[in-house]
Amino acid sequence: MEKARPLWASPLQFVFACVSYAVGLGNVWRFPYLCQLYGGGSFLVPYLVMLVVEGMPLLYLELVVGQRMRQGSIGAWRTISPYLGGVGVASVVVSFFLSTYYNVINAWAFWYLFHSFQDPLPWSVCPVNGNRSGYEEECEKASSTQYFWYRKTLNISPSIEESGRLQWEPALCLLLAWLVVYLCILRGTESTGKVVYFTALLPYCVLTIYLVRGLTLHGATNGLLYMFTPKVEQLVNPKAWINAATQIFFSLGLGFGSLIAFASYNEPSTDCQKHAVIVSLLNSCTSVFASVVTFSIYGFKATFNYESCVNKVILLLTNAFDLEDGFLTADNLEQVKAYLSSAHPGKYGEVLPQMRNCSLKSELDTAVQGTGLAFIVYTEAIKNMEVSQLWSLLYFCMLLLLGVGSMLGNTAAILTPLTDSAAVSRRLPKEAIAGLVCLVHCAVGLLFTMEAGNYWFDIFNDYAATLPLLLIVLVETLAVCYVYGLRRFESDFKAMSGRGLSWYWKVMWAGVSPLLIVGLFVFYLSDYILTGTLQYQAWDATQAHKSPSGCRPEKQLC
Amino acid sequence: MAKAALSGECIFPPGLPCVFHSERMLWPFFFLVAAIHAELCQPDGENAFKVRLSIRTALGDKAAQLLWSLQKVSCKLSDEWLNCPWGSSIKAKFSPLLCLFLCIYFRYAWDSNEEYLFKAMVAFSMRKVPNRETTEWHSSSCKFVTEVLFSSTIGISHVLLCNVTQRVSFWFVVTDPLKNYTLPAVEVESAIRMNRNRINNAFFLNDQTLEFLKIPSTLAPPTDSSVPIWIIIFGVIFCIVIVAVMLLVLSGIRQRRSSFPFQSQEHSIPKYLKGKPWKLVVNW
Repeated sequence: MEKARPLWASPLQFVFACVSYAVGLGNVWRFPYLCQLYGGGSFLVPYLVMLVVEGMPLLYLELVVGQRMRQGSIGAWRTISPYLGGVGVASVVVSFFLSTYYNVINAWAFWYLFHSFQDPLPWSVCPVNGNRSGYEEECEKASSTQYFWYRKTLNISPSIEESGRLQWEPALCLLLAWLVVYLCILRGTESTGKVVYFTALLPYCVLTIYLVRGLTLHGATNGLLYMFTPKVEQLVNPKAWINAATQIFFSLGLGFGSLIAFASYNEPSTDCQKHAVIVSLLNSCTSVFASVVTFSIYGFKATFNYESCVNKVILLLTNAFDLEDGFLTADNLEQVKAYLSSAHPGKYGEVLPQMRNCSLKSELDTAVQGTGLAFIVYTEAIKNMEVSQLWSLLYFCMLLLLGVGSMLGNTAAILTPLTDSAAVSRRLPKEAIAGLVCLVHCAVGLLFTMEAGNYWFDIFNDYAATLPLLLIVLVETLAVCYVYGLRRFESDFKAMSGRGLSWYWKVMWAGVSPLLIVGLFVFYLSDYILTGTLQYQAWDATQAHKSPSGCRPEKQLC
Repeated sequence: MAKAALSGECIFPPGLPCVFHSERMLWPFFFLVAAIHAELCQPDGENAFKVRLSIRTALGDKAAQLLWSLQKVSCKLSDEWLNCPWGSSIKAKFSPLLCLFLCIYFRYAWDSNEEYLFKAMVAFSMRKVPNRETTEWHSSSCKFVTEVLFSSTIGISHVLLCNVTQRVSFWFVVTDPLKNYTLPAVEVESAIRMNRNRINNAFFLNDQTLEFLKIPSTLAPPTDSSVPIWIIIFGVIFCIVIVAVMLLVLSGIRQRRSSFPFQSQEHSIPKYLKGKPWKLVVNW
């Protein structure tokens, strides 16, 4: 008996599903970092060029393949050519890796969310040490937010070799994260279609609230000016263009098979060209929007730290020279310092080593990305805001929504081929398949909850998806254009949707995009080869900061 | 002294000077006492503590913020009258009345009255300490004498301040009412620590803005409830999610079971009609 393929209840659900998959944590924590590194406002130029040249065509290609073949990635590629089923399998395997480590971020977001109900926030104060004479040493040396992240959340070990024990708290949060994902996917498009309304729209609400709050914070303009001041010389830096291309590529989630899966649940007559353009534009706009929010918060944090530093210097000088309280201000500090160094050189010399050089620029220059940005820098800014519990709640809810939205796509990429395959779907109902998939992921994901889990996370984050995806998308493009034949594909498309293919897409698919991907692939491969021994940053509890730790040659991890 | 007692000899101390009743002799006596007292209170002296106040940091900021948000009004009169030192450093001009109000309400200048209050607070803290007993060998009566220092005898005159700077910082000592020496630092420290909160409140300051330099402040004990809050919230959300999953799974199973009788009908549809759109079947 033939079962009708489940469909999205409306094209809007499909668009929301794609948007909630594409708009993920990378928009919030990777794009602002790249923007800062590669010239602020001028980074938008390579970014938009790459969007038009690489992002939109490849996104459209995947949507068309999915909609035409009406199967998950394995079935779709096998239909294109019986020898290309491996592309689909590769997509599923990469999605498996991604899902395993991506949901750990959701687990951490849950952990912080649950801890946001305390007053004061646990990462805003250092815990008192055993005999109540002072604060914990590790916390004093680092900051309270870093201590909470490295010691209380991760309980990180000094190196990747020391795996330590399974931490039951993150493990519970991981279990909860997978239960939530299971809840959203267990009925297929029926349940996913409803969840994506929330995961696509609510993050925008929270980002808007944060935008308003961020722009009204003291010092926000410093951050925004710093970010958006274009450094035009970065336009000739090839790394800026390569990073723009990479960011577009991974931000849209190409090559995982999720887009093919989502599109396969479409009505054949859906206009996916419009959807492709909308989704890719929305994704880029969200990145820029999120970076405005991030930089206003950066500016606030940097200004706060700078002013604290200046106040510390003022206090030091006031106490050392018994000056009148309030006489020294930020405005006259330099003049008074000059006067004191000339009038009382001996005493000034004693005080000088304790005085730090406070610089707003160096505070702003600390570019951070990834989990460090989300869980250390942002939490540090939040703890200094008024009603910090509310802001913390909002922020981690947003992270969760973004994360779960992306997870829906990742798991769809794995589930769709499984439910499509007759061998599996005949034996088990789709709830059971989804349950098994979530169970396996959860079990493997427990690796990331061990004490060395964050190091494993970094390895997966950096290396699990980059090269494989480039290869997969390259083969996809070449397969459609040259193996299946672009003309045949065009006629299929016309038969399916009743519309023709614009020349622009054909030129991009056949020529420009494959060349770009080959260029990226060659660059990354040579980068890996030339780097030699790979290094990772390990947390040193005695010094309370990160230090590079080389991999020993006999260990096969590197 | 102990040796002398064992041998049976008593060593009599030299006779104390007579007390003169003539009033003219009292003035040099006062000066002598003052001089001795001045010697007791010295910077880095024995049992002396340095105190540092940051009144403007604590109180001036609130007013300064208010002033900055009210846009530029003049303050020359109140500047001179109340000795508000901000006028010189803040370039904006403020209205006399407003500045007056803010100066009075928020801020106070450190003068002799504030010093009197400080001495009173320190004396108050020392009075709250239980009475001290000390046992000493008295050579005059050749026996051990227990002396009790009644805390209630400590008064304002026994707290000495010296070296007041513009910062505002000064040194203080607490002298023994009976004798002419300073009370041990340990006692003073424990007395101040126990009443730190009251002393801070008298001046609208806190541990960071009213610093006793050698007296560390006690950190607040960690408020740990028996069950961490996060576990409670985790439990609630976990239960909600489990219930929702169960409901969906059970309703899915029920749906499949109720649609089962229809599936046998599908088998009776002829093969050539399968896959054709529904419209065609109706027409046919």
